[in-house]
Parts: sequence; C-alpha cells; structure tokens
Amino acid sequence: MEIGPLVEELENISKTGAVSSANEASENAPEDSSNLEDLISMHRSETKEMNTPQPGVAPPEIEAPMEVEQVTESGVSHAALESLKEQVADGLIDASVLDEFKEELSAGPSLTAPVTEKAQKIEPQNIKEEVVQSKVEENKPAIVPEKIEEKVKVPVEQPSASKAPSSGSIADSTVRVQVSTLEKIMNIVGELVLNRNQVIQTASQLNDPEMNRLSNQLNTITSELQSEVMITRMQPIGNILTKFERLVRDLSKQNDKRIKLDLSGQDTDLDRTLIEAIKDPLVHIIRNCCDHGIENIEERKNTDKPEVGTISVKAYNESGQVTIEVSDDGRGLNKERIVSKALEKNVITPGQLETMDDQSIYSLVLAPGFSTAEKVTNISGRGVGMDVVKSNIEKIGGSVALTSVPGVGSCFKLRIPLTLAIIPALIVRSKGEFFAIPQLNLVELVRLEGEDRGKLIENIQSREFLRLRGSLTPLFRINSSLELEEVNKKSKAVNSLLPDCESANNLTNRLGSIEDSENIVILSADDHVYALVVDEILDTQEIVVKPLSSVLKDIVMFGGATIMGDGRVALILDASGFLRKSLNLTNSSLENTFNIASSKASVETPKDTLEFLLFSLRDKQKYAIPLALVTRLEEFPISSIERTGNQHIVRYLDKPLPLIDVEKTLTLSNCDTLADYLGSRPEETKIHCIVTSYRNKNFALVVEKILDIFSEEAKVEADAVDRSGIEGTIFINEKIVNVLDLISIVKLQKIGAFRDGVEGNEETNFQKSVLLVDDSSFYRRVEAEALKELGIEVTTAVDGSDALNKLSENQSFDVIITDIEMPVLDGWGLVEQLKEVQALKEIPIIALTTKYSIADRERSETLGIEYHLEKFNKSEVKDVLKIIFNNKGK
Amino acid sequence: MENEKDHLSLQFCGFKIGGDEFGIPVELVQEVIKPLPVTTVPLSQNTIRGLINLRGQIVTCISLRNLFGLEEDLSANHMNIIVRGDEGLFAFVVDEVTDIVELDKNNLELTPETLKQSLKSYVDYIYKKEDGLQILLNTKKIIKAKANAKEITQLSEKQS
Repeated sequence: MEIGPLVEELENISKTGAVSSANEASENAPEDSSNLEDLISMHRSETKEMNTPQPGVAPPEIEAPMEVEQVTESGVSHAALESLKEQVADGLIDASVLDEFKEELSAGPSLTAPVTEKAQKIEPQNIKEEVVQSKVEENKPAIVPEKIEEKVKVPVEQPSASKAPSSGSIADSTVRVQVSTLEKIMNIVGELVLNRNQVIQTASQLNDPEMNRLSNQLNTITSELQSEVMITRMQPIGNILTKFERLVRDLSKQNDKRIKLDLSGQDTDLDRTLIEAIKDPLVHIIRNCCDHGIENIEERKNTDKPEVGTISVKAYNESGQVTIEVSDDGRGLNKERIVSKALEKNVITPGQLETMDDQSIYSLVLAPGFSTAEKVTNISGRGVGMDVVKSNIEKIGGSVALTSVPGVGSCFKLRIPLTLAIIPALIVRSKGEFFAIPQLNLVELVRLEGEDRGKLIENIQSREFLRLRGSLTPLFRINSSLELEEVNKKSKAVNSLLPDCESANNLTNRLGSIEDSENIVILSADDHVYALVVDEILDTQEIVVKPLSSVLKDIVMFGGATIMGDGRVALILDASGFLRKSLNLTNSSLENTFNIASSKASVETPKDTLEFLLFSLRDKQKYAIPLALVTRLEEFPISSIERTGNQHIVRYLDKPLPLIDVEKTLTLSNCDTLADYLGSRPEETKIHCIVTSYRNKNFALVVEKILDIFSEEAKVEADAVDRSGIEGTIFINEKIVNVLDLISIVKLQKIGAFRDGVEGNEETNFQKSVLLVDDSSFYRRVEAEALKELGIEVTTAVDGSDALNKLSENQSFDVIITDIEMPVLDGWGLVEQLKEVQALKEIPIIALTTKYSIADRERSETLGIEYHLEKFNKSEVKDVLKIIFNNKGK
Repeated sequence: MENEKDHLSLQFCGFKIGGDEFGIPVELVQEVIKPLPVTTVPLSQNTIRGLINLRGQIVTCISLRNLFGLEEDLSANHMNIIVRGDEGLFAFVVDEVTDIVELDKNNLELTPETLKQSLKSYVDYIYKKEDGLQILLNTKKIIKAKANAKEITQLSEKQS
C-alpha cells in the first residue's frame, strides 16, 4: 500500500472539512481544526505502524483469512459511507469527497484497504465537527472509528503475527503513559546517575576488587537505563513539522502566493521538552519565509522562477545534535535594508560595518530589537523580531545560523541538543570551587607554561587577550570574573565547622602550586570564541542539570547546578551568559575585538593547507616540519641519554631511540649541541624531542623548543636553500620559517641502515614524462621539483578524477605517480579505473603514502601497483624510476 | 481581619535568631537538618549562603541572620530548616530550633509599625506567649527577597 499519495489526499479532505467547519461552526473553529490536524497526524502515524509489514511478504497460507477480512473491511467501508452520507446531508462535508469515496469503494476489492483507511481518517474529523455542532451526537460517531480501527488493525496485523507469533499484538506493544510519570522516571534516573557517580568514586577509593566489580556493573546498568529512559522522552519532530503544512497553506492563500512545503526527516527524534521549545521559533521562521522570503507570483514569473515557491524543512541528526534547516527559494535577505536599519537602530556602528562580510550582515537580523518589515502585517513583523527565535533557541542550548543569497533564497539552520537533562561537561576547579562547563561550548584546552604566559597573553588597557594561533582571543580569568577569592573565603568560613571540609582543603594543598602555568579553556558561545583561565582542569563527566532557584537566576553566568561524584554541588557555567556578563562589565571595544576576531575566523580556510609543527633551534630561527610526519612530542631528562659510539640514544618504548642533533646535522653551529647540553646542564633538565618515524624506525629530533602548530597554504620556496636538510622556506605571520627535509636529515646521520646513503653523483637525465597526482600542493610542488631535477617532464593532477581527465587528453605518460589519500577519487580508486582501460593498463604506477603500512602495501599489490613507497623519500622514488625506465629501455 | 486569622496555620515551628524567637508555619517545613557542605554561588547577594545537596536535590540556602541585617555568626553549629517553596526547597539557616508552638488566635498581634525595617517586610504577626514574643514570618516573602534585600541591609546598616 502506498501511503504517500493517500496521505496527501486525506490532507485535502481534512482541509476542505476544516474550512467548511471554520466557515459555519463557530469562532473556535480554527483552534478545533488545528486539534483536528493533531488527530489526523496521530492517526497517520498509527496507520504507518500498521502498514509496516510489506504486502508481498505475507505467507501464502494466510491468504484465506485475509480475504475474509477484506470482506469485513468493505462492509465497514460501506458503513463509513453511510455515515459520510449523513454528514453530507448535514452539510458538513463537501459532496465531492463523498463522490470520491464512492468511486474508490466501487473500484474493486483491491482498493478496499486504502479506502477503509480513508474512512478511518475521515471519521475522527467528523467527530470533531459533530462535537462542534452538538454535544448530543457525541456518542454515535465516537464508536464508529473505534470499530473501524479495530477491524483495520486485524487484517494488516495478521501477516506480522504469523511471521513472528511470539512478538504479541500491537495492542500489547504500546502503552499510553502520562508524561508526568515519564518526567518522574527521568528525575529518578537522574538521581540514580548521581548516586552511581558517588558509588564509583567511593569504590575507587576503597580499592576492593569485589566492590569495583559491583560498581562497574552498576555503572553499565545505569548507563543503559539512562539511555533507554532518554528514548522514552524522545518524540519524532514530525509531530510539529506536519502542522506547518497547514500554516503554509493558509499563509499562501492570504498572501496570494503559491508556496509548497517540503518536509524531510520527520522521524528525527528529539526530547519532548525541546520539541515544545522549538515550535514557536519554527513557526516564526516559517511565517517569515512565507511573508518576506517567497515573492508573489508576478515577481517570481519575472525572475524566471517556478510560480510555486518552496519552503523546505529538513531535520537530521548531526554529531550528537539535531539540525533543522528551514530554507526558502525566495528573494533572499535585503542587505541594504538590513544595513540601513541596523545603523538606524544603533545595532552596529559604521565602523563595525566595515569589517563585516555579507553573512554577518545577514546575521544582524537575529540581533535584538531588529525588524526590517516596512509595514506590519498580521503574519510576521509584529514588533517581535527574529531575535526572539535566536534567544529561544539559545535558551535550550541550541544555535541559529543564517545564510542568504540574494535572489536565490535564504536558509536558517537551527542546531539543537538532543536532550537537556543529562549532558557531558568538563569539570574545572578554581580557588577550590568546582565548575562544570558543558562540552557543547568547549573548543579546546590550552596550557601555557613558563615564559609563554607572558608572550602569548597580551594586555590592552587591562583587558587580556590570548594569541591563539595568530588570532587574538579575548581572555577572562574565572577567578576575577567571579570574584572567587571572596567566594572561597566565604565558603571556607561557612563550611569551617563541617568535619569533611578539612579533607577538601588538604586536597587543594596536595595538588600543589599551579603558579607556573596557565590552564586555559577555549569556549565558544553566541558565535564568539573566548578564553577562560582556570586554576585546574579536572576531567569530563556526565552531569545532571538541575535548575537554579529564581533568586539565583539573575546571575546569568550559571546555567544550573549539578551534584558531583563526591556529593558536593558544582555550578554549571553558562558560556554565553558568562560572555554577556563579561561584556557588560567591559566596554564595547571588546565587541569590536570580537568582530575582528570573528571576521578573521570566518575567512574560509584555504582548501589546500598543510599543518606544520613549529619549533625553534638555538640559532633563534624558526623551523617547521609537516605535522603528518610527527609521531609524538616527547621530553627526555638528560640523565636518561646514553651513547653508543658517537650516537646519543634514549630508551623509548623498550627500543633504542637515536637522537638526531638537528643543529649539528644542518651545521648551524660548530659545536656538538647535545654534548653541550649534556655537559652544561643539570641532570634533571629535559630536552624537547620530536619523535618521527622513517622506514618504521623512530628517530628523535632534538630541538630547543616546540612552539606551535599552524596550518598554512603551503608555498615552500626552495630558492634560498644553501644546504641539504632544509626543504625550503615559508612565510608565517611575515616571518621566515625553515621547513626541514626530514628524510635527508635522517639520511645525513651515519646510523645503521642509512649509513649506505651514498647518493649517486651521475648525471641523470631521463627524457620521460610523468603524471603526478597529489591533493596537497606542497607535496605536489616538492615532488615535481625533485622529478624535474631528473629531467622528467611533470604533469600534475589534484586528485584521481582530475588525473583521469588529464589522461583522457594525453595518454603518453611513462609513469604515473599517485598519492593514496586523496579527496574525490583516491589513489586506489584511480588505479582500479586505470587498469580497466586498455591503453592505460600498462603504464607503471608508483603509489606514495605518508602512512606506510604493510596492509596498504598489500592492497596496492593486489591492485597491480608495483611500487608502494613512502612520501618524502626522493631517492627511493628516483631509484624506482631508474628501474622502470631502464627496464623499458631494454 | 478575623478571616485572615482563620486561615492562619495553628502550628508553628519555632526557632531563634540573635536572641529573638521566630516561627514559620509547620506545614511548610519539610525537615530540620544539621549543616551540610555549602557551595557558595559567586556574585550572589549576600543573603544567599549557597547551595546544598539534600539527598540529590539542590537546595538554596538562605541566611536569615543576613536577611534581617544581623552580623553573620559562623562560630556556632547552626541548624537548617528545609522549607518548601513554590519552586523547590529552600534551607533557612537559623541559630537554634526550639519547638512546635500551638497557637491561640486571640494572642496574635499585627506587625508593630516601629519594627526594624529590615525585619518588618517579612513579618506577618507577632504572637504573644506567656514568657515572651514570637515573630511569625512569611516564608514566601523571605524566598522572594531578591536584590532589595541587599539595599535593606545596607539601609539598616546606615541606620544603626
């Protein structure tokens, strides 16, 4: 049975029915008709459920009962028809509906089922209308749908029952439960979660294996229970989305526009309370789309758009959140009008305007006190702007983003958390007070040690800023923002008489001083990113959010409170509230900084970027190596360094790890840096090492200091390089950074397997052409340069599909060198396609990869790739090329 | 006025703060507990002592001493009276809990005009006992005592 068209039809019917009732019944009619839609959507979901067994799968032996049921069904349909006739007589239903109904009824037995459904759908509506008309009639129609429902259920359910007899009937599988009961269960589970946390903490202190086992068990069971209970609170978002169909229909009629509503993802589940909370904002957005977004028919015709405008509402799950997209294909937002209005209403200053791009201008629509509607209509623009949408969504921990393209349409993107009751949070401590920061707001954690504190934290007129990878981020200190010094005094005084307060104080002492470093939590809220300095970062926990009493709600910095594992109460930091409060305290210049920061941040990250690890050597120059080549960063105390011959090694993962003295290798200084280190510094001094691996062996580069990670569109200039070991230079923040050629550095060492490295001096000049496929422009460039040195003509392609294009133009390549990991079409995909083409089949292929593994190599071999090599290994590629070309030559 | 007195509860839970005896309707009292660890709420008004964890429920703790403009006394082990409010539980920190008092309506007196300003706004009636007076408090007003509490305290400080 196909539900789709049927449902549409039913909607039409319900519409006509509803309209007629609205016309004649009473003033309450619109309300009633919306209830009516509730009813219909409810019934629809039921019908869906009933229809799940596919008609085709029913085993043959139940055909007979099916037929019997069908007879009953048609009987029912006739009954329904009779009642319909009555309704028509009463003038409640359009006669055309009845005709339609009759037609379908007479169409034959095959149609009876859908028809019955139709009857069933119509019935509830009839009830509603009769209730409006007169309450005396209530009894009669109330019985009818029940009867039908039962009878419809039976035949449809039959196949499923015969398939799985033990599963029980549908009547048994659903139970109606009071929402309040569910809420109560939720609360109790919340308590249980807290209790579990406490038990786990106590158990870990007791160190009793049996206790640990039991607490682990409790942990699993509670988690399971928690997730199941969460599911009971979930409702498909379709419950509210389907209501918008009517809204859009009505609005399009009123406005003389033609609008179609496209819904998708109605079965996306969302917490019940959240569904309630997003309903009004969504109505507001859709009203706006209908009123301002979609043009009228004339205008649409003039701009070559289809007469019927489309509003589409898409709901889907994305990374633990539900995203709802409302987009229209209307005229888009009017930038000029927004700008003039924003300036007029002092939402922004002309200075701010200059730094804003189009999208942030559009986002001004969401700013408080903003309405561009020139005339107030009864649909939207009732003085309440879109800011209500924003604040309502943010209240429930969600976010709103707005994009718009003039003439093409606009799109609202709402991100909503799945649930509010239990959230993961980061626990931090400052001055002995615990705070929970919702993970949702968390961007990253930064720790500054030693002199970095002074270097990376800047001060402008007593406002602090953190240099976070080149961008200035406003920095707040939780201790001063929340006056924690005093808080701590107060709580110490208040709790001084309690026995267990001692232990808490001891704990603080035991953890020692934290003076020499800054723990920074980077948070994002309201599209702003800011840094917050805390004393200690503890761990992450699932916390149960408990509301604060209204007396404390004035302090907007806290979103609630929770109970920690040890039973103490911790406040939940509301990242956006904290920001707002902090902004109030400071002046508007901070807002400017944010604008600058955010405009910088919103610049699209270049597609082809490469991440580098930045470090310094003792010559005070900055050096970098591609992050992809770095295995780990380690610190080794000088005392752990041993020697074999002249080679310094440390024990690392039970293997000797050769230390490579980069300065010596690059002959930057004449002295032996490592020896210098070893001689002059106290034993416990630590040296910083970058552990990297080459041919499955680990090496550690000794550097003075590891600075940062940055991503840069890689343009490595190799012109100024005077020695081997340096790949080239790049500019970062207007400073030159040397990029090391890791492989030649390793080769320059006289260690083990690489001692042989006598590079051939012979003049190599293959007059061949090679197709080089790599997505990273940096690698592409480096490899191409290396190949050109060999007298090879290089053609480059950015990914597999590009390579195929290039091959279709020119098939005369001698060798194809391809990266494995690429977007669109990866190396393997490319080779698979190549091997299918007769002309290209024979071209030798060299595969390059940064992540060399035996498994990958085997995969390459099965695909017919002869050479599977590690990237950044020029000599190996050269050797292989030599072999290929020599073989060919012969 | 007589009608209002009719609605008044007949049993009051008595407690002492700074030598005076107070009372709140007994049906609003859930329990009386010894002090629990308090989490101080940063930036809160000084009458709010903090939050306590009462068997999994978070209870806002109000110091009546502070509310009435008296010096906070942290030397003694005070008692907390857990009171049911419209939106959850509140803990009133008091010096000492005395007894349940059975009221005789004839001995009720309206709040005297001359009562200290900081106290007057929370008082419903004064009850004349044989051996002294008991001040009957309105818990709703105490719970709702928001920012103005601070002003009142400051005002009373100025006065005194």
